Amino acid sequence: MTEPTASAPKSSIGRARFGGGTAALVIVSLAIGLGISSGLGALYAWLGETGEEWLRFAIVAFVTLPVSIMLPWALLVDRSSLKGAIDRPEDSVEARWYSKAAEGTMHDVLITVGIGAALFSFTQLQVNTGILLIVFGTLVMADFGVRYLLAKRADA
Amino acid sequence: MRNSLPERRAKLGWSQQRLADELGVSRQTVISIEKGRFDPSLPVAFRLAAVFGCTIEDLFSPE
Repeated sequence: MTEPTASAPKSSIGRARFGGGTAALVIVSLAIGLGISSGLGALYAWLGETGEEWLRFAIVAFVTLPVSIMLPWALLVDRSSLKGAIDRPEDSVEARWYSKAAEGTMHDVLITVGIGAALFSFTQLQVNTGILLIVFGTLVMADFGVRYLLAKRADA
Repeated sequence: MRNSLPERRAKLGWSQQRLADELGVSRQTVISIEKGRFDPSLPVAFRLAAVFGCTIEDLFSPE
């Protein structure tokens, strides 16, 4: 990791950990993000129903672009060049809130999956797997968010 | 766990943010430690002792 000098200014975007500046980090993140989004769009257009392939490609590429750009940025940014980034996040109270929320969410997932598996087995219920996973994933994220806020309220 | 952080910090005239910057943690972490709602990790406790020039036992005591 590149250690910035004491006089090096910090910014909200930061600099690349591979030695480049902010511009290099932005360009590389955009390039990788565009590649990932284009790949996902092409995969969706190829695997989906026939017709309107370009439209489906464009929609998937567009909606996945923000995450596809932020992912390489998060992996490539030098944290010490970020404004407001603390040196030891693992020692901060926020790390405990995260751990408590993750632990509680894991238990909720285990219970939900267990009960759900039993119900589906007994009732022979058939549902769309994609929709089921989207709903379940949304509930898991909401569960984590609520648990994080509760942990924060308890410690703050 | 009880602690004497607020008094020692006030003696130095430091804000919670200044102490957080010295420790490399968030300001919320300092707030939670001072309120006794968050027990710091051993490395943070050692850094606190170094910052205030005392021992960990001087800073923290069991309830």
